[in-house]
Amino acid sequence: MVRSLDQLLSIIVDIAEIDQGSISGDTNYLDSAFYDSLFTLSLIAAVDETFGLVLSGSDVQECASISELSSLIDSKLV
Amino acid sequence: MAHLQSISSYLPSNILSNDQLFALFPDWPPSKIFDKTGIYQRHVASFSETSLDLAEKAALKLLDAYHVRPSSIDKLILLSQTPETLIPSSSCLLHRRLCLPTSCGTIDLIQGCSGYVYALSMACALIDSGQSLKTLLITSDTYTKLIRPEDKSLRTLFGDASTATLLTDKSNFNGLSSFGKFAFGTDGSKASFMTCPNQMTGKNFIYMNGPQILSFTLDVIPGFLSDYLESTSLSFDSFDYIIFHQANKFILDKLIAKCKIPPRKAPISLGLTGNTVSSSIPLALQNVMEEHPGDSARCLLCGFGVGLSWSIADVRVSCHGQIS
Repeated sequence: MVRSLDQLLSIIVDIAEIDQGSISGDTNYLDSAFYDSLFTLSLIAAVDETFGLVLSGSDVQECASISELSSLIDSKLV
Repeated sequence: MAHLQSISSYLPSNILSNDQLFALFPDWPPSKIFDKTGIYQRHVASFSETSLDLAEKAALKLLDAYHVRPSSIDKLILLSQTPETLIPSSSCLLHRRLCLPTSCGTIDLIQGCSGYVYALSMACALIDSGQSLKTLLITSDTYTKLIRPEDKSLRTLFGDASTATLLTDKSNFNGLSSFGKFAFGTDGSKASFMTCPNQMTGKNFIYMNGPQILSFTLDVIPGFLSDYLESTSLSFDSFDYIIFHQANKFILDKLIAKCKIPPRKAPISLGLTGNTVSSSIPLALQNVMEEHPGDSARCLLCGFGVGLSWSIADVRVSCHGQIS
């Protein structure tokens, strides 16, 4: 079972240029101050680089939390 | 055999700089704009300046620079998604402005980022089948007229431009140019990712879902390229340059890295123009023809975007005699 959560949190910290402790799996990134189209673009590209998986824009835009997005990535990587 | 002889271009004189964008959008500083897009400035057609005006200027530049008589042009192709008119075809209006002979056939093509390769393929087919000795291919788009004034992203990315490419039968020219295999792809099910319904009414604006376009690019284009190379028994090493549609630096950096193309082989040349849609590949190719140190360069051209549509051409261009 692939568990992408830790790597995903690290990716988001890098892209959003925020402190490590400021987000967790429960964070709803869609409501965060750092969420915009550039964030979505960067996230899609970074997930592809890290996991070899191309998320769609709607994958990113429809998950309610980082954990949910992580679960989606895990399910696609199985 | 079809030969790409020369390219000229015309950019509108009005410029929208990153500083000007910052004045309009205070959360969008110039350094961040450049960092995210690779663009310093974009040229913007004036209110009264149409894609036909741009096309005429690019075409006249080429005819003047290379001493080409208008009477020698036997086919005119106008590639534009923002034609001045649909009825009559804008290529007919351009034909008149350039004083081309009545024996010259004219064709309008409506494709965007993948369109230049489509138009090259058509020009190549016309020449190779004996239907043309000299084809003038014009790209011209004024996307900026279809962008909402408050649309920060699209105003940042797109610029207006026109290019003119002269293609001749090789028997007319002693150069080295030649075309290899063309390839195309389309996914109309994703057409909604980038649209502009009823653009001719002037009441609608361009919509682009950037994340979906990026996903498509990273998902489809690397495989498209590798399939092409496999089917032609070529590799990236076979080419001097891989010239992608100049969408923006972010997408190109990711695409070039994913395809494992040495960055020196894949020029990113949209800094002074922005994304010029149909003109982006010929503008980049013109740069190569002016700056490549050798006599000729073999280039793999790859267009992708609105449609969704994608395309590849293998072309060898002469690099001496190109006038900047």
